[in-house]
Amino acid sequence: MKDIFKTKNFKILIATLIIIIMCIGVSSVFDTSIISSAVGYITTGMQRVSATVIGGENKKSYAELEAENQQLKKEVASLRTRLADYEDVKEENARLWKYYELKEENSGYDFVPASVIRRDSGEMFYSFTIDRGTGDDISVNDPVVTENGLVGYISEVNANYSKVITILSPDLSAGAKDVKSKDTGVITGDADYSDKNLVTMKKLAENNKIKTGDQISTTGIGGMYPENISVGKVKEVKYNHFDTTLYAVIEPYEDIKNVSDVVVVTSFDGQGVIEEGTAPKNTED
Amino acid sequence: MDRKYTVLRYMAYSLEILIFYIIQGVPNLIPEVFGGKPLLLISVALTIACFENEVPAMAFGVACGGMMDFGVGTHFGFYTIALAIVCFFVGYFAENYFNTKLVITMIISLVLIPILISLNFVINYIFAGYPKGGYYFVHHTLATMGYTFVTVPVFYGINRVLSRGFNDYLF
Repeated sequence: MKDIFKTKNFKILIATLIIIIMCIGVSSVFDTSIISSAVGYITTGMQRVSATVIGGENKKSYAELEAENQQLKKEVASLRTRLADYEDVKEENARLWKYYELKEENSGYDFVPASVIRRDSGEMFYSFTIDRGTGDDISVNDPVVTENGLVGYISEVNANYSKVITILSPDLSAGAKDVKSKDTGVITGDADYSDKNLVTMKKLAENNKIKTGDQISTTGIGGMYPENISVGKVKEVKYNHFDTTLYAVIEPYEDIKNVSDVVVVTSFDGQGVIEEGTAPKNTED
Repeated sequence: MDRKYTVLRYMAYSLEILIFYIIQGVPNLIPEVFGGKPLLLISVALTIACFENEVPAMAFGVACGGMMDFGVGTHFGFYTIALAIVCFFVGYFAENYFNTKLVITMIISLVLIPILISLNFVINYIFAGYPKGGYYFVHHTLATMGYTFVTVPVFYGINRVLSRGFNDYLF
């Protein structure tokens, strides 16, 4: 056994490790990786094909679909009643808009539709890869949305693909408000809730008036995300015994864990300028 | 002649790595069980290492680890380094101390998969400053370990055919 450390092969292992560490060092210092780009270029096409073949939707049984349909019908009826009371019609649209409607209403927005092509098993907090990159004018920190609301932001861009950090991740912090009560807070992911497709709204005021069912949307403060992008509805308001603060558990309108088509907002009115290297995490609180 | 078929075998391994890298990332293909999904390339690397000597084992460990690190977009190549070292020693022991059998491969995997995934969790979750590590470990990482482990026999079978097929059956 001791002989292994004197063999030529062991020297090859050491040399390989040194080369790997040097590659990692160069990649980290210059924030680039030629190897990653090359691998991405090769695999993205195959990944796109395989994702298309498999399809993005979850397979559900007839009984599950029927139950879901019934639940959705009830929810639609309930929402119809409540919509009549809504003071601001824009908030209604923010939850219901579709991609093209959004574009019509927000002429200041530039969109790039994209498909989810990879959800790696090793990813934390349900991050994913989309099939658009710098060639489509996508940049780091661009917001990612669907017709149902905020999904996340672009964390890494390459020529023909980009990586998205979702709102289920603690890496994301976005200013948010209760549409009804106007209370504000910060939307962020939490390990306790991410696997249930839930996010938290933290930094709430002690005397907040947030109630279950309230709609939450972005404030746009900080210029990272457009204003009035829907996030979800309040599931419950809880008290954190460790830091003695209140937070709300938010149920996103979008199924973040299974979303298959998204839209990247490449520019919008009120977008802030973020200098490269100054924002290691996507925060605007 | 041998050299030619060694090259063929290595090409088959490379193709296997590429295919399972893609499969590992196809959205909604592999169902999530208890919050975890299998890291197929760990199983691929370990089983290849069981059939090869140390240098090729290390090379395929680097390939699998590199693909895994690339897949999640981390600059720090934990799996590249870890699988290079682990596969080197697995290859060495497989070459010198035991005949590769399913039971031995399973025992090796039972020890190494939890170590690799736990170390990755410590480095990329705990050291990265994410909160509630205990919850995440119990609800995601443990399931990932178990799920990865149960895929080992599949890759053992594939790599046994690739390894012995080229060596024994064809020639």
